[in-house]
Amino acid sequence: MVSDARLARIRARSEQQGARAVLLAAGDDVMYALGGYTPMADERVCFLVVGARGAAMVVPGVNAHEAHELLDGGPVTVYDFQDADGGGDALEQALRTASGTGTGGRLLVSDAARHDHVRTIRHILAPDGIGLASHVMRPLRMVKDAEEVDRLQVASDAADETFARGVEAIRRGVSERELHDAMLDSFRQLGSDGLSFQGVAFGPNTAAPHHHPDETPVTDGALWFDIGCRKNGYCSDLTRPAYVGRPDAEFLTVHQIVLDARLAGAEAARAGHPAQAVDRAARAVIERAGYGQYFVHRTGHGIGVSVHEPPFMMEGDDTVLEPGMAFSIEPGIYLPGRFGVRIEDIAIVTDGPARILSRLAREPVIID
Amino acid sequence: MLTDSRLTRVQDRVAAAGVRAVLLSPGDDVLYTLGFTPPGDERCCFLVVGADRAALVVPGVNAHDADVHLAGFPVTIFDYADDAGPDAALSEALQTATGQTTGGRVLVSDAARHDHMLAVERALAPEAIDLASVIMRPLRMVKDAEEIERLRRSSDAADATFGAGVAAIAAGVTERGVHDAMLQNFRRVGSDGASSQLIAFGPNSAAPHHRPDDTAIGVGPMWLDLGCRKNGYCSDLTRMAYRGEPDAFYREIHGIVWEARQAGEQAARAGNPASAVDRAARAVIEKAGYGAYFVHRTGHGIGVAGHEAPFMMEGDDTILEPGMTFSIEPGIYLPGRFGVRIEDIAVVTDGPAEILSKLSPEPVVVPV
Repeated sequence: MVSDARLARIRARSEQQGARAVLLAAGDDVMYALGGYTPMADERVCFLVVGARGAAMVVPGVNAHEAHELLDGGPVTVYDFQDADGGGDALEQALRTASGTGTGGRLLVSDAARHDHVRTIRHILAPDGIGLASHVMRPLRMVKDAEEVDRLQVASDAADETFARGVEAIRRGVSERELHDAMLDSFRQLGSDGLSFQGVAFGPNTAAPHHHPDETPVTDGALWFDIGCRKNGYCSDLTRPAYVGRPDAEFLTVHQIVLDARLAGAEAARAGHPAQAVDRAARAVIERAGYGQYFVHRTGHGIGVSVHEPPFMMEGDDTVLEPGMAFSIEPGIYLPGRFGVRIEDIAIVTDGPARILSRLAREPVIID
Repeated sequence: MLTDSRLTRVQDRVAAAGVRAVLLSPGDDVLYTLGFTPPGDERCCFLVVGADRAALVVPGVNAHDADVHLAGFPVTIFDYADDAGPDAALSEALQTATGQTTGGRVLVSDAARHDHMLAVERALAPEAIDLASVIMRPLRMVKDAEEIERLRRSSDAADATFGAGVAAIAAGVTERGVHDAMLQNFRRVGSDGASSQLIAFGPNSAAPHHRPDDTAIGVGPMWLDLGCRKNGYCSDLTRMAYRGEPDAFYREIHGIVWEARQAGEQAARAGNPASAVDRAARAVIEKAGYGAYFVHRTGHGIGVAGHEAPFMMEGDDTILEPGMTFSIEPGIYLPGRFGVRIEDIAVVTDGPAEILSKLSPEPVVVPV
């Protein structure tokens, strides 16, 4: 399962950065590097160390069985440690295996690594300097190969199916939480890897872009679902609005503006453009319609083994888009106390127009 | 649940520690302090607490939610647009909380992300950064009566969900099926969203953190390790089940683990160090000749986090005080065969420890 090719690319980038080794924290960076596996992350030190001479995984004893089973015989040596001993010795051995020496040099550590783990690294490995591992991981993780795009499509299909099941569960009186649970069950049945989220907002709650589903009952009015899962290591993220009853003119107007913004974003999602061009294109539509101040977030975020990763579709992110980059385009308009509309799709940059993963219609779902 | 007495206690500790401010990350530290936390993601988000005042730095997308939850609460909210970045908001927050915009010694949450630490260095140019656990650990470790009541309610939810898991164990069901039944039950009994439900059957149970997969539940032993967060507080429970009639060897191992669990409870008394709980439990297993197969610490503190200080292991000499709460969870794992773990949450009192779960320690025998 572990791909030598990915480890080799990480190693090459690390050398270009003049680093002795890259230390990747359990979680997304390790999931990417090992092609679909990461030990569980908790307060215990857990890192994949990649250097010029090899790769080694530091893992607490409680997770050692799984790590040995999946990694032994491959390019990654596993060093496990007992809780009472702490991870210090294992870290030093791992750095020695990966780079030839146990201390010193410049190390790159995952952006998401915990503060206390960074301190442990500083204390135990006494590096000359510590930088962010994103210098190495960002360019690699941003551009997806064909297999990664396939996995993103499979995760997207699960979100499409789950959206449909969520819509089936809508009736007057059902709570946001019940709709959340129906979609959670759907993601489990469709084989998500455990991580999933199912945002539901009804009525004035839709005006908060990150509203948490609560006991609010659904009656007549605006609704959105913002859902996604991780499947085979790769994520989906999908938002569609719906309306219970007969939508009023302003909802339909706002929906059309957001849809136009979403389409403008996709039009700008072309190889050679900067990421911020996607934001500018979508935002211009909303600003021109007079709702600029109600679009309170960036237009999108990269997606892969993480739900949110570079590039970010916002002013200031001038990453030049390349074929294989995958990100959300999700403009929205939020009218406080009233309602909000967001339409979110995942786009893949190609040599031509962007490929949109969801096969769902972009019109609002209207439920009588 | 919002109470500013917690915030006041954190402020008092900031003053006593002689630091300028503590910066708490979204997640457990903020949940403890405010009874509410914004979601944590790659965007910088900190609760900045000075000796007299506090401010919250939050990305725009979560500002509305923070406004609603913190209405009338003495915390000033500084939100920032994604393209502006957090630096100015961090400075303003520090200014509001401490009267200074840069410098001084600050404490940052142990779980803070590496890249957010760098943002703090860049925006606030502190003279030194240290771990927030210096002040948060003593506060969070000792629970007041209300916190213990919440832990009891959360434990009741785990007891009920264990029953739901046992009910799902039937011919043809897989580990994943039992996992899903428990997940649904946790939702039904009102967990706050985060829950964990591990099940391992047969040889899988020899890996202490086995993740539920498509293994069918046949005849033989299994453990269920489950917990949720309810009203902000966590539960964690492990019990054994056996489909068919347990053999004498299994009964013997189970008996040793139960004896170790009881020995741990005996040692969980005010005045003893945390390591004494580990030693007491481990001694029983070592004496029986299975020391090599008890591959993890005996337990961990529990509260707003599923794992927190103190840790029941060699080297943790935290002196136990009434109100401290932690797991006692010795286990024996026989590779290729099976594992047994019995986990209870103990509350230190003036006398013997209170055990939260009302379940019997005996393996539940499920007829074939």
